[in-house]
Amino acid sequence: MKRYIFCLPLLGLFLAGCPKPAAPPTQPRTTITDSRPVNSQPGGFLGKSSRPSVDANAPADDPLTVLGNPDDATESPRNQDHFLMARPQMTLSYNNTLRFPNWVAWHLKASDIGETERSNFVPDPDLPSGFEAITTRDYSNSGYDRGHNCPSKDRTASPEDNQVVFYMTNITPQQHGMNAGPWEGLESYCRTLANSGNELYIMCGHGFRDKDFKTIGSDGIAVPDFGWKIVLVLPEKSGNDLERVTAETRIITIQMPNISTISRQPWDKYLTTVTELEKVTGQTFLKGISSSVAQILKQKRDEGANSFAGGSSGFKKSNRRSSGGSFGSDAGGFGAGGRR
Amino acid sequence: MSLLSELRAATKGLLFLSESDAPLKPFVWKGVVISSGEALLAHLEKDAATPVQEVELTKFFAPMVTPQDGDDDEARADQARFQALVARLATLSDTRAFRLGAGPEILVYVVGKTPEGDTAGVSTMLTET
Repeated sequence: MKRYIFCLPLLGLFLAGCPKPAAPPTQPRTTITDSRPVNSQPGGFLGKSSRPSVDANAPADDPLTVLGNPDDATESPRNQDHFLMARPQMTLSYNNTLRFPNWVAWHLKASDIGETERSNFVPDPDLPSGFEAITTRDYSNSGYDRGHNCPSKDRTASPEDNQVVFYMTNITPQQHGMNAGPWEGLESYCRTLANSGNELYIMCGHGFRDKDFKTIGSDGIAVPDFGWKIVLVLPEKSGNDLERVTAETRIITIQMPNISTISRQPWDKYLTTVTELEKVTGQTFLKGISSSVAQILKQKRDEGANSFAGGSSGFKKSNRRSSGGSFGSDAGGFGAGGRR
Repeated sequence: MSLLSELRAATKGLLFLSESDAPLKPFVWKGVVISSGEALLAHLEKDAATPVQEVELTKFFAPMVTPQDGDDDEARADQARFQALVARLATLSDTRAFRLGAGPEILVYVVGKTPEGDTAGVSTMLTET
């Protein structure tokens, strides 16, 4: 599987103001101990930093080309709450105050899904000094799962791919009922779509309802109130994917509460629109897409696991079911308790 | 000290870390022989169609005994306890780990044969989404 290293311009480096964080930081910024120049390579994982922009030369499967960079995260180690980490397996904006990513974006196609064994959780080796490298034990005894943003099974083509998604920068505290319930349900559903001839652009993250949030562990990992995800579904083809995104493109947007009691709920109970998601997260999504198309996509609410997206997505109805992943016969209506 | 008490002391307070944390529960099954995954399912009265995957003992425990960046004294102490537990389980004969279920929750039984011909070991739960 061939992927590309890419990066965004360092336009944000000298901006006086900071982009809006995923949540109001309640802690002062950590003192930077990194002595390298502000424009140095943060971790050695980035490609050349001179790429002009997310432009026509960008790789076809660069997730940010299509999805955009919601908080204008940059590769500057000084930008601790919007630190861009672009790797072939996934791109994320790390928040050193929250101790989890503002968002994680990746591209998913059938060849990403293989038989590689699961890796183990490890601190992210690419975080610059001055960042708190969270360990798996920081979650111990917290009552929260180590919730993947980019899921393990989406990166099982090689051991290297799988290891990267077990870096703790890809992890957010999730209640087990959400992680192993509808959150997993949508992850499985996305792989079903990928295995049915589609390629997907996925971005997800977590957010807060108000300024107060609790933390876990001695390093103070914030516990979010909800998780969100945006999935763009395209028939798998070579060429410029951004040009193939139209107002007809299937877009799946969810926001689900980070609570323990939803383990048996189907993922599509939590469908929403990007417009609504922008209101609750304060972020701007789909920046890569032309504004006229994005405006339409942002209003669209998907019809869930039983959707037929016809020719535009190439999605074939599948009999595969996953826990919490299918909705039964009443897609779109959430009455009668919602349980199966 | 009975084997069960010994295993209880060895596992007390230890957590197996996957996406979730789970305690290790020791057991001794008198007069029971577990020769295969099928036999284990039968003994546990679980559906015979439950997926079973056998894992080598040290491989199963590898994440819990392998040092990593950021380890503190507590982490190192737990790794040492896990190492001692693995060593004790390895003194049973034919000790193996069986993963039961298709996920996201996977039950794991580590089983071995005691000199008396009983089956003993520990069980835990993994979350793999």
